[in-house]
Amino acid sequence: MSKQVEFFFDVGSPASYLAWTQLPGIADAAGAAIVWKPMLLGGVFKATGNRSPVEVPAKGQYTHRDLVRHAERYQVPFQYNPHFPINTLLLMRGAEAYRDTPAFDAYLHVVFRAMWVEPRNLNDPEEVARTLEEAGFDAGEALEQAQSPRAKEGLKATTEEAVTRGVFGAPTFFVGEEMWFGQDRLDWIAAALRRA
Amino acid sequence: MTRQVEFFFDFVSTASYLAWTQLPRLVRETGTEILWRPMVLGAVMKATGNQPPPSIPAKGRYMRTDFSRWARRYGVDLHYPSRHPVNTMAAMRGAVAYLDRPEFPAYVRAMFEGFWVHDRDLEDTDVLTELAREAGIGAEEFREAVDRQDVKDRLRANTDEAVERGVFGAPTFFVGDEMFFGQDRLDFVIEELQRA
Repeated sequence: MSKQVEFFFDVGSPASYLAWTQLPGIADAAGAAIVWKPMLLGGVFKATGNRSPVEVPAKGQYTHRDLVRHAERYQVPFQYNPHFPINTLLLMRGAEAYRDTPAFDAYLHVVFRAMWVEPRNLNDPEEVARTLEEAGFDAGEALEQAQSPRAKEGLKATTEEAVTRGVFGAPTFFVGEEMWFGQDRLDWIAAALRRA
Repeated sequence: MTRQVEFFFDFVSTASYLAWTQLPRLVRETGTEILWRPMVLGAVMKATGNQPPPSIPAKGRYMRTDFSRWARRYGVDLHYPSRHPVNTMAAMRGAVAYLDRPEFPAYVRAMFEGFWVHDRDLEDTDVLTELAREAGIGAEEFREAVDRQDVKDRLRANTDEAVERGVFGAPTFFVGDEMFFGQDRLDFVIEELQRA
């Protein structure tokens, strides 16, 4: 079997964004494929009883600082989204809809950037539509795809799979049965892929 | 100016133990001086509304795996105590009482290794006095020391200060006003010290 890393993520998670900026390079260097696993983090929190770090104010403040430090280390742009938390149900259904299509990379790129670089209020469906249009998507078609039963069921299934496999937050990676949580575990994943 | 790093810790915390095993390396690589800041983690959690990771079962399971991975990376022993968490108040008062004494390094070692390697119950007064004796501290003297009002006050003051400065868990490091949380941020601490 060829080498692969499974990447469970939600575009509403800043740590997922940071991981996304680094993972393709790591996978390429190891000759591994990324198996994209869009999930609904809110659903994972609900199922596991976990909470966002921002619900503990001191932790939220520090987490922001920590993400900025990592963005500097990775040399990638990062802006905290003032509209956070954002309900990502529609966006993640969109990710699921585009998952196995040629437009997937472009979709993730535009959504992650709109969320954590520009940052836009993606709680607003009109802003979502504008964002997609600007990036060359047909927003009407994209939203229709996102609301298709296939996308809804696919996202739900991946979220349930995540919980079953022990995921409690985002991003989470698997190399085989080994699980890592957090964008700060990328060096471990690189090492596991070299061994695989 | 001497470069200094403050180390807020509690013997009850696995990550504090792991961080402690790496402090000699930190000192070697940066020439820093460690300012030991014993605190009561339970009180910090209560004050900030934070919860220990095992309160979320999936997170608790993963954290054990994660800590075991780091212990292997560091090449240090780590065995979960049969009873955890325990109330480490007396042990932490001992850390405050002996902070400026020659027995301090041996005392800290006895407590951390007693709990995280040899499964000694740090809530048991007899065990504590035995471990203190291993560090060259007489039983009678130790019992008196941990009961002193100024010792209790200093530990409470450390804990209050930690919360005021934004600490929500252990271990937490400060280099000046820059705060770093977790044994997995040692490389950031080292970088900061090299800049300082």
